[in-house]
Amino acid sequence: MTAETPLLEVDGLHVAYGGIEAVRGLSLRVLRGSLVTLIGANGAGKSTTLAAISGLVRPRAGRVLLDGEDVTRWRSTRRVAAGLVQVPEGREVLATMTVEENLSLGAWHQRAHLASGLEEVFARFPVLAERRRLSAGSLSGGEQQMLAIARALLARPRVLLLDEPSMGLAPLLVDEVFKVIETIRAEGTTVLLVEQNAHRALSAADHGYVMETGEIVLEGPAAELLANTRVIEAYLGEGFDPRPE
Amino acid sequence: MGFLRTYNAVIVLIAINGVLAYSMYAVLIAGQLSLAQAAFASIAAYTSALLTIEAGLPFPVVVVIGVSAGAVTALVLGLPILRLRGVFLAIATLGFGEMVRIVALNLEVTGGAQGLRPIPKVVTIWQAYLALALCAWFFWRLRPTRLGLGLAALRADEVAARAMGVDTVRYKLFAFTVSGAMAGLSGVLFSHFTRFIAPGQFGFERAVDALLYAVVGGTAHWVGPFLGAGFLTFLPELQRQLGIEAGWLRPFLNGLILLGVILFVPAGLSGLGRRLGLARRPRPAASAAPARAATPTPTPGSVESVTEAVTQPTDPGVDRRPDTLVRLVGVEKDYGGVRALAEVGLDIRAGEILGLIGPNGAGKTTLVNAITGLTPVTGGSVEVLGTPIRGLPANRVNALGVGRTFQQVKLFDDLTVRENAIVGGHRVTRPTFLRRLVFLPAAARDDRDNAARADRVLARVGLLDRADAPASSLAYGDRRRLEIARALCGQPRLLVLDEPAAGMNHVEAQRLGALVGAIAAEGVTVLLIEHNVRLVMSVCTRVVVLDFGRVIADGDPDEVARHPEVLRAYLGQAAT
Repeated sequence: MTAETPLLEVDGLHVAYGGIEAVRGLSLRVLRGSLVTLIGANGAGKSTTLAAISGLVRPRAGRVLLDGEDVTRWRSTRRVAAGLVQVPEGREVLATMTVEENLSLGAWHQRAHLASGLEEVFARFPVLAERRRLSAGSLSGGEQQMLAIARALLARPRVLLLDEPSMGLAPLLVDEVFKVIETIRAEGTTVLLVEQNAHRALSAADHGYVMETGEIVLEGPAAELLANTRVIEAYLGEGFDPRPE
Repeated sequence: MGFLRTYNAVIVLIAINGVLAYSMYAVLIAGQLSLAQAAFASIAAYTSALLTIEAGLPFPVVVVIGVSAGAVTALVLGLPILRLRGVFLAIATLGFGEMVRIVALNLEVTGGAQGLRPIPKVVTIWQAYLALALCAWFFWRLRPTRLGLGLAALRADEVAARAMGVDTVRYKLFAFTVSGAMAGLSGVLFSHFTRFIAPGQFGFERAVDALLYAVVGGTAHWVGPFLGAGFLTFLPELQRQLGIEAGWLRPFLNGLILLGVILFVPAGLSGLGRRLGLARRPRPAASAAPARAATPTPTPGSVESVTEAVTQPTDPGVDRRPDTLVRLVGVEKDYGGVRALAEVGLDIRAGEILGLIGPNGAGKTTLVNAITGLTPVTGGSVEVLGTPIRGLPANRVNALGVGRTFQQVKLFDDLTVRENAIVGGHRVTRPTFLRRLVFLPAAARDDRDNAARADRVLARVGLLDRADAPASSLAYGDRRRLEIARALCGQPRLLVLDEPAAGMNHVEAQRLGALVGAIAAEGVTVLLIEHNVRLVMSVCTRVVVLDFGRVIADGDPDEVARHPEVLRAYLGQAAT
């Protein structure tokens, strides 16, 4: 990598729950405008890493830098205001509130841009416009995922953190979610993507990190990881055909 | 002995309040918030006092009648109101407490506002502490038993507890009745110690006191209520010694302490002990199963554990082993205008691995809930293992031999991984509480066997090394694995897996597929709902596709994968 300042940088991150170290000295860099993915087995510490980046857990050691600025001691609300926005695992839409209310909460720090932001996401996700007055809990799983992403977009992210956006979605919807992610990135938003669907994630990403038991064990351009035998064995499965689709 | 004499009143009151605290504890460990404890105590106090004064009955007889009065009141009150949840139950019980107070205030026989006096003072310090010890002993024996874990499961997640076969209605009534009996005991002791009772002593403040004792003491350990009652009863005495006893000070300090406890030691005083490492007790010895089974290839132990389900009939109706385990005919389900299922006809045949796929919102989970008794259907009929399940609660469906997992993981978070699995075995285990109460070794053996069986199943899904960790500490995919283990512990004939591979990568999903195959090979029929098409196509023997509540395809996996409707509605390009 060059001397360019990464938009998001994590340096020597340690996170522990009680006595158990979930993340042990993790470092990663996300360059401006890139799509970086973090893959790994269950319990490897991926979600914990995202939580530390967005300020939901306090790391025991290490730093999180946003555009060169140390945000490690910032509270999560301040990080959101600065453009570090997470789409949580399992969607976490506010089920009893309407679609529109969910979206306006996304614009908490961006009051001035609420109207234009709503217009934008309704154009991007017409299904949400149709259902704006329905409770978020009445949406199907795919619609809820779109809502969760749209809500994050209203916060006008500079870095979008996505935690398993394809989980529990029908194949057609997985396609759709990945299309959305690629569009968001093409429009200039930097994305850090945590995914179990390693094949889809690596196909979409520029750069990938592989995490095992709290540490990065492998990193590189996504295309190289996709062809890496260790990655294929551990995450893509036997009989996996590494040729591009 | 000088200390005992000087502080006799406080020391006895600690025991009496402790008994009341245990009565609160009885409902709290079942996840029910009741504020009727003071009312139960009041009914028992008046009944027993009148029997002593008017009829001159001997004290032991009076105790038995008083305790029964509390228990019966709680049972009769519980029947209608235990369907209420959370704050609604609290309000209903509070209303009951107020009713009892008003009645006592206006009856002649209770002496109205003047109260009843003099009641002979017969309670000695030893009797009071014997009563306290009996309550403590009850809860000490309760926790590791089938009943105790069932109550803990009910508190953690009522729906999941029912799906594991716990009869939640009876369990709640049990907790409520025990609570009434203990409150009654405390009422009898109180009236025969203070020599005077009046309605004001059993009002709202007393109800809140009971809650305070239990919460400050903590519900994490059975010594909690004693600690809470001891601390809060001794506090005014301490204030008197220090010369700070203005009238407003006691309630003010109580409030302050409650705030402090909730903010800084939410687990209460007993939790404080655990935090300091005092209350660490040895775990039941795990079986000799291997540490972490990396791959879920069946071990000899696990084969035995599941085949038991097939060879051991649990119900005469199940013994016939029909070829069709589940039969749905014209099943419909409407959610206020939204049709989730429309004329679904479906048979699940013995021994097959049936895949159920379809877009999000197609009605798959509704179908599963209809089969497992969580959702009543609005039309058509559902038959499981030869039994029509219209109106049958989920725990009865589970008893027929149906185990399931949930799309939104529903673990008992504050139980350990092993305890979760043990609760899953509810259907195939015998009650152990009464035997454990009197220290019969057979009960301990049964509990150990249950734990060992749970460990075998945990080894099978690769979670044995986490057996003692709280379920809440598991990563997402491991939580799903634990749900499968929990369902397997019930040795089901039909296992329903609702999106088990969500949150797993392809390699983990492949391992899961191998596990599902091994389970089926042992004679368990599997219904698998999944979006991981690769997994469905590789393990299922038949696949059914739902779209907008209708079956749009039904056949072997290859056929279904080529079906044009399925490609359009569901698979899209990912199928290629």
